[in-house]
Amino acid sequence: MATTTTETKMLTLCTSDKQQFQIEETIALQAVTIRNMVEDECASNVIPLPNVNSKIMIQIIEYLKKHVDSSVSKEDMEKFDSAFVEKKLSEIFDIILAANYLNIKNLLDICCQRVADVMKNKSPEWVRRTFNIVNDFTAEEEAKIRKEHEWAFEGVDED
Amino acid sequence: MTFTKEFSTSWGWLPRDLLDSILDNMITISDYVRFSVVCKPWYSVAIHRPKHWRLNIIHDKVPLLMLPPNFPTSSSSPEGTRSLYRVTENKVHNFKIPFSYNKRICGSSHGWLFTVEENMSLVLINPFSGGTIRLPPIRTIPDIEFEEVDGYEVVKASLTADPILFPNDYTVVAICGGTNILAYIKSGDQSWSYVNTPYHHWLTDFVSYKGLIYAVDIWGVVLSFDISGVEDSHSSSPSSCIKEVAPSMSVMSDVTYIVESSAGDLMLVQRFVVPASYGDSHFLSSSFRIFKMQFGPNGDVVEMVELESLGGDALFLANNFSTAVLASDFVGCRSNSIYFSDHNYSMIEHSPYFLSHDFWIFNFGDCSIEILCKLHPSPKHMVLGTWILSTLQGLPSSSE
Repeated sequence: MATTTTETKMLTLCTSDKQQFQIEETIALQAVTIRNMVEDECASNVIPLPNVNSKIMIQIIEYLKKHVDSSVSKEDMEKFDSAFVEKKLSEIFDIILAANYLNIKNLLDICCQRVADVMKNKSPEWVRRTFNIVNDFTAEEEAKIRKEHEWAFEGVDED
Repeated sequence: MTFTKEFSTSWGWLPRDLLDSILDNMITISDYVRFSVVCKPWYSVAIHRPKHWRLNIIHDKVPLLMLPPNFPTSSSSPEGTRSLYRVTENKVHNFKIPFSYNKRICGSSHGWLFTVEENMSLVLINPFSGGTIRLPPIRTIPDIEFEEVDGYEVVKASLTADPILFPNDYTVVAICGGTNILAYIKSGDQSWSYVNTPYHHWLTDFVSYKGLIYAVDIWGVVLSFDISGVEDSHSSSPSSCIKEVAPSMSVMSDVTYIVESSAGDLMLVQRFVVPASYGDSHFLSSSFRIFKMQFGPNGDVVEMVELESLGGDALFLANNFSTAVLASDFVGCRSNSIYFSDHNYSMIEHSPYFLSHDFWIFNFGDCSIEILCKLHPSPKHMVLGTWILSTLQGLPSSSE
């Protein structure tokens, strides 16, 4: 049972590097994982989040604070979101993992959208270099897939 | 591009559901194919996409222009193949697709091209998959023998679904030249069914929309056909499945198209042929008026709202194909624009104006027109180039 109270209830989140963040409960509860922990009363005052470090937590709190504000227009929220994801891909990667763990669907969506946009019209070689991915296909395997869809590899942006 | 040690994260091994979420945001089939070739884990995720998702992406929504056989390109096309032109990038692909027919293509749907044989049988060919579907002859006027098949017996043919994805649940629909007959054949049927319209309609275009076929005639009359409930009637179907949903337009156009917008509205497009000059040559240009159909609760069109803008949409029009896409989803695609090909205007064949066979872009904002691709005239003034939607070959189909 959730307790009912009119005063602003605060929650303390503890990140993997043992930093503590005090935030309003209404902000934190947008993360479904935190909401479940609170509703199931399996968290005391301090909620441990061993999969999120403080650097990422600061950014996620920034996002949650904006999104809890019902006075923000849809247009302004979209502006905020598109500015929010203008980060280095390594940061986006960490936020995706954290948003997935915390179960914040909107945040996950905008980050995945950003990744898809980065890859738009780019060659696989460019994607491997940019995302630091090792090509584990053999030359024959890769050639076979490419051959089947030859037209998809033309007209990509210059690397 | 340089890497820092900090970039130690492994995109390659991102959990499946997260890679799935990234794929959810991809729009073009080309991006999807290239994603699959980055590394094995990504390939594995890509080929296990659920069917409903593949349905949306399986065809690139922006059509390629399949060029006529005699079109000169930088790399010559081997006999029996055609070059593809990507209009959004103004580029002819080096990749060629096999298509040996040198006749009018009366339909282009879900990657399949339709041609008519001498005996009035319809042949569907998918140059990407190599598939062929031969349909029985269309007999709209049983007692008359066709002296010469010129390609216009079938004005337009189309599919309600892709036979590759729905081998047992697709319907081919065709409208026949000079008649007021709509013919259709369902997968597995042995012969065509025919619907005679009771009016003096000269059907010019149709579209499959929300389970019905909507057809338009030269006067702009819109008819809906419910062919889903008609079973095993291989002669003339009862006309109860036809409904006139919109009366004729106040102004008659030279060509009328019916097309679904990217937002899911049905639009009636009127095209007017107007004399114009391009450099030194005089030719027949086009202007357009576009109306959004507003449906009432009983399925009738209560209002035709004339549009001043297509918004973010780009339209692709031809007499055998029409589609609308949200231009911002595709690099190089122009919004508020109409990509179209010329028609065969039999009624004006002897006019002093040069009969163009080209592909054009019409800017719906300032009504300017520019040439997209210039093609040679063909015998019988046929437009041999055609829009075609690319499809996945060797379709991944492991999970449902």
